[in-house]
Amino acid sequence: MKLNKLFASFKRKLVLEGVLRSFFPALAAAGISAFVFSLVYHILLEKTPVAIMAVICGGIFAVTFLTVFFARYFPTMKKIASRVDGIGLKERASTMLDNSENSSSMASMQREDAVIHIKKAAAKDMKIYFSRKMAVLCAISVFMAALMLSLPHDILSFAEPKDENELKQEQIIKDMIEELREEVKNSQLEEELKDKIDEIIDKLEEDIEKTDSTLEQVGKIEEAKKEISDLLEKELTKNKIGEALQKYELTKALGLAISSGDTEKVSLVLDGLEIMLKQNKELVKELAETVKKALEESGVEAGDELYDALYNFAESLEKIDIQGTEFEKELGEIFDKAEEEINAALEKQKIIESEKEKLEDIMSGAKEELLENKEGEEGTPQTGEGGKEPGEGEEGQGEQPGGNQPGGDQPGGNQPGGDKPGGDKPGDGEGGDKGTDGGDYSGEDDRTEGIYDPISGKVSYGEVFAVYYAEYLKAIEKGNVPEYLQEIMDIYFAELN
Amino acid sequence: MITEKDIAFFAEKSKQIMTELSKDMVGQKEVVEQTVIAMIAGGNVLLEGVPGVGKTRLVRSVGKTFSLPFSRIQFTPDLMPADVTGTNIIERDENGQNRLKFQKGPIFSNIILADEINRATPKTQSALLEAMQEHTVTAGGRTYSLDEPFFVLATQNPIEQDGTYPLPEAQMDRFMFKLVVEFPGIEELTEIVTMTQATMEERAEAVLTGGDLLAMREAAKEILVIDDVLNYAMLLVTATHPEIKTSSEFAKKNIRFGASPRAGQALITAGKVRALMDGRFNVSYDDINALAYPVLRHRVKPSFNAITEKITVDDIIEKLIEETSKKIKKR
Repeated sequence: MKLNKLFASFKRKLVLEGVLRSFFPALAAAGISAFVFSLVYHILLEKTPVAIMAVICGGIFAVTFLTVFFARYFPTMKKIASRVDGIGLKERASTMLDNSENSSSMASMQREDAVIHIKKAAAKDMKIYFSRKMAVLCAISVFMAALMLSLPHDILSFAEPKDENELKQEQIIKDMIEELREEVKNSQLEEELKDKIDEIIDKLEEDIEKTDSTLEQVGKIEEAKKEISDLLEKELTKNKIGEALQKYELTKALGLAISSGDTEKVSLVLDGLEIMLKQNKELVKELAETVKKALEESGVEAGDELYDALYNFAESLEKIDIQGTEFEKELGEIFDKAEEEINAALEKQKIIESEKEKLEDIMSGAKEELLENKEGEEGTPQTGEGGKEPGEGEEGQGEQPGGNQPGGDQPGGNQPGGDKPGGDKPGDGEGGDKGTDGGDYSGEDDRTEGIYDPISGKVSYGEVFAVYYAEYLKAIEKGNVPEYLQEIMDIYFAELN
Repeated sequence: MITEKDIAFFAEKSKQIMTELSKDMVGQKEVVEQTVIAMIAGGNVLLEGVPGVGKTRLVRSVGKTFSLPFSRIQFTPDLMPADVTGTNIIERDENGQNRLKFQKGPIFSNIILADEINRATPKTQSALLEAMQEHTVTAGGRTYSLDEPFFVLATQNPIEQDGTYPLPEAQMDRFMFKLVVEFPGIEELTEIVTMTQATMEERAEAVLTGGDLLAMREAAKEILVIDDVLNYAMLLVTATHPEIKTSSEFAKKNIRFGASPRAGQALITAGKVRALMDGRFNVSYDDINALAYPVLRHRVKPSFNAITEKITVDDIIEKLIEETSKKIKKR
């Protein structure tokens, strides 16, 4: 009788035992790995990436299980025979296995005797052994891993627990980032632009995480906002091209229409130009030259859709046969094509302009919320906290730039009318108020909160600058800083930073 | 080549032997079994027990059962070697000439009962030794062979050690087994007294001859021993040696010196007989463990520490079995 068949039921039982005995150490190894993995992330104050951890620990479990099973518990024939002997066969099975090639009469008789006894034995009489110590270790490791995973990721943080305002601050930033990403994702911008904006948002997120100071965060948001604005502004070539076209009488109206971005206006102007050229054929070439000249002066490079549309328009006009019989027909076709291309380009730029506004709004909104939250955090100003109130003669405060309230010093008090960016800013005379409005945001509260070192009496430069810069940003938003001064102010603050 | 017929013969005869011996021996089943094992295996047995527990009776019953010539030698301090082996005597032949003739001693028998062997002098003891080991007797410059099968069943009294000559280790080693005949329990004692009220004579009858015994011995030699069991037996023997590096702390502390290689031979040889008597064709760990006591008991010398802590030799053997079993399981 073949040994495999004879030992089949016993082998099955031993395989089951092997699986059980391999399972516990494998689970213990996975549990310990999960515990260590999670502990490392807790030390780093990061959230444990559960999916990655599950994959790694699953791998460790599988490797350990297979290694232990095949190296230690896989039931070889010898092991099976030995275990079968253990249920009362008194080494009959082992002797039979050892002498399987022995052809002596004694070996034959022994085999027969062994087979009889093995057949009488039942696999159920074979006990399954497993280590209780290992089972306990397994339970402990799984428990520890579960405990470590359930703890908050910053449990090991030695920083003071965050208060409500700090949590709100984090939430505002988190919401802003999410909103920005969502807006970019759902926008109709080109993929290349979207990627660039995403990079700016990623950098903003990283920069904000590096600092807890609201003012610095606000500064970073403003930087990112400017970066995004500049990026999108580059795509808004209609303004440059429109301005260039406006310099020439022949193309002034077209320039105005293009600058406005209104496709209907563009269509009307082009219709007007078409009629005019039909009546004054000699102006065709002049118009073409003028358009080309304006394009060259605009600073926009070829490849831009609007630029190409106008350039093609000019090229087509240059090539038209003024004296030909099909002049009017050809002229009509050229204008139709130009209208289509120019308006298509303008539509795209409208989208960019719209997205620019939306993104700027999101970031401005977040900045406002952050600053309001900071004001809320400070609570009642000047409530006698540790003698930090202004005017109490503390030297440090006397030196603070808050002594020159940013609103009061800003040229906002002398704003000319009508030059306010976007045309939405408050009119003249309000700048002065705005100057003092800047004082509504009491820089002193900011100065006293968390930046004053009572020992040295000094204030950190970074904090002072952040306050100063934040006031400038607020002033810009309120329209207190004329456009022609903004560049100078940007340079000024850049040098201060 | 052994056949099934030989195995069946063995099984039948061993059963008959046990049946016959149980007629004369009340209880002492293990002693009786191990005596039979030793005889089939061709070994000599040392029986130790207080007077009256049936040592001599056992030997006499064995002699009757095996229908072999039986001699009893009562060892006393004045017993001479020649009293055991025989000597040359002067004899007048038919011509009236004097000549020397060797008069065989009581040792020229198949079964020798050497009663109270420790009472004889070392010189007399050594005369028996040659016979036990070589199955020959040398006298007057001539060597005489002893008939096979030849067994010595010696007895000694554990009390009354004054004026005795304890067998030296070398001589003790020649006994395959040392069996301790315990004092019977109350029930067994009652049965003994009842039985011997009727007659003191042994009631065992002959069931086999010397040739049968030799045939059984040959059959037992064929029994299989796997390497693991053999290795286990050797590990057990080496475990009795405290000077060996791998010996346990217990052995180092409680054993003065350990068993000789004859112990290993005895374990395997006797193990084969035991297995066959049990109806098996292979030696098992149980056989080795069961025979470890009679084989090692007289070969392992306990240390002073063991004596003072009242650790007996059997306790030592039990502990060594436990340690050696754990060792092989770990492998």
